[in-house]
Amino acid sequence: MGGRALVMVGTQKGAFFYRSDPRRDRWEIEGPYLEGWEVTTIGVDGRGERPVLYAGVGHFVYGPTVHRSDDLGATWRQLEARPSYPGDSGFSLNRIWTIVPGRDSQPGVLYAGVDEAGIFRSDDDGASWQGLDGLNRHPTRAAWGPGAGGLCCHTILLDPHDDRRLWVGISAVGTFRSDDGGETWQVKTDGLPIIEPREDHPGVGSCVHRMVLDPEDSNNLYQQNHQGVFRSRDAGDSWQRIESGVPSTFGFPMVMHPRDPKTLFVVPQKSDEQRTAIDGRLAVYRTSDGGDSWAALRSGLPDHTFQGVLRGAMATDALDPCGIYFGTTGGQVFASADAGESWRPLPGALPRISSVTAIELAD
Amino acid sequence: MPERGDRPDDEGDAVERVEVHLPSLLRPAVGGRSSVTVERGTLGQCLERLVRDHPLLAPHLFDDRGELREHVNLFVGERNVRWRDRWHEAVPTGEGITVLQAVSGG
Repeated sequence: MGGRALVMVGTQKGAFFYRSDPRRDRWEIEGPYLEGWEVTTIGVDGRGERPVLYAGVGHFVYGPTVHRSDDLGATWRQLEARPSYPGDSGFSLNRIWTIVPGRDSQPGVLYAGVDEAGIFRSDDDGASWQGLDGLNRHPTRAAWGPGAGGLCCHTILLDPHDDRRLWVGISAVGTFRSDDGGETWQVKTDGLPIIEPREDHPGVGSCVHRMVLDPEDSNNLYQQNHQGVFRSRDAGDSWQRIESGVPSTFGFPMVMHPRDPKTLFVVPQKSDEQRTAIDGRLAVYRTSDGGDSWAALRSGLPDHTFQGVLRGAMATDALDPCGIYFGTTGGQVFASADAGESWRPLPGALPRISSVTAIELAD
Repeated sequence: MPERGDRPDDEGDAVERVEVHLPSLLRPAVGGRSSVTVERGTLGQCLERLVRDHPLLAPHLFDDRGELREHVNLFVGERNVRWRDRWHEAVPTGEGITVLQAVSGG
């Protein structure tokens, strides 16, 4: 089996792409693309004949926009439209943290999750965007407050079995679910720690860092939270801790094996104060039983590494065995071509890495 | 410097144009050029014409409320004019507009 992979790395200063040989043994680096711009996310729309890439791009002076590539990154064009709040809303668009294609039955539909926290939908491949006010003007909005990274709507999940159900994750705010296609949203934080409960909105204030969905049984959700690792078996109605074997409950990324939804990967980090590899020993932790137990994978990963891994900076490909990739705050990229059993560094010393996305390439 | 007849809509009239110099990050939004020209007027009119003719620049210069972004600096000739109370003043003949990242941006 095997095959070639393309790993797309978004950094504080541009995007860098890695292409592998068919064994994922040798890698070539390309870039920077979008040079000088912060690339916060790269979403892949695989619904057409060829994959289309959408990048969330920004700069602390010149602001965020969406860029599109139809040739796997070789060229990019800025889209004229972008998610944006009405001028009188009091909200501003600071970053675009995720761009997710709609369902196969919804050609042209894209969703974007942004800072200042909100969700936007496009029905025309990004030519225009509409805010989903059921979330963006949620009755609990007054209780939303930013985390260290801002007020970020960073995760959007679509239920593959129910066209009307979707979830979002917002750092320092919580998990929300819509059962009516995004018209209305319910807070889904029962069982999650609340940073500082408010009397008026006691369920708001849980800091979800990453959330993933079991595509076979979409009652099963998992999340790496600021304050623990959690599983839900009822579509987010309630959450339980799954921390047996992890050395720290703090971390950012979480990814799921592309064919085995009971296998997930996290990168525990040393406390929210330090946010680095524990004791300098970089390690990925894997569960193969849906979170009941976790064990370290560190073959090939370096010691004396005091870097962190951000929430969007880990991805899998869909090859067999699956490839796993993550990038660090110190600009290093690590790759495994055997589902995490062994790792190697990829070439280059990059800027701080915000996002990692991986796809398979046709031979 | 003023130019004429460099755009189809000029139709050869003696419309004065002002050159707008752009920082390297914004050049892809105007096809890779380091500067573009707009019809001369007040600073506010020139900026309106700039984003009308080159709409990809708009989100980079202005925020969701339509305000000039906090760390974007504007010069007319050698003078810093980012403050709105100067936007009604005409851009003098022979002077260009320069968009820069403000030092306040770090």
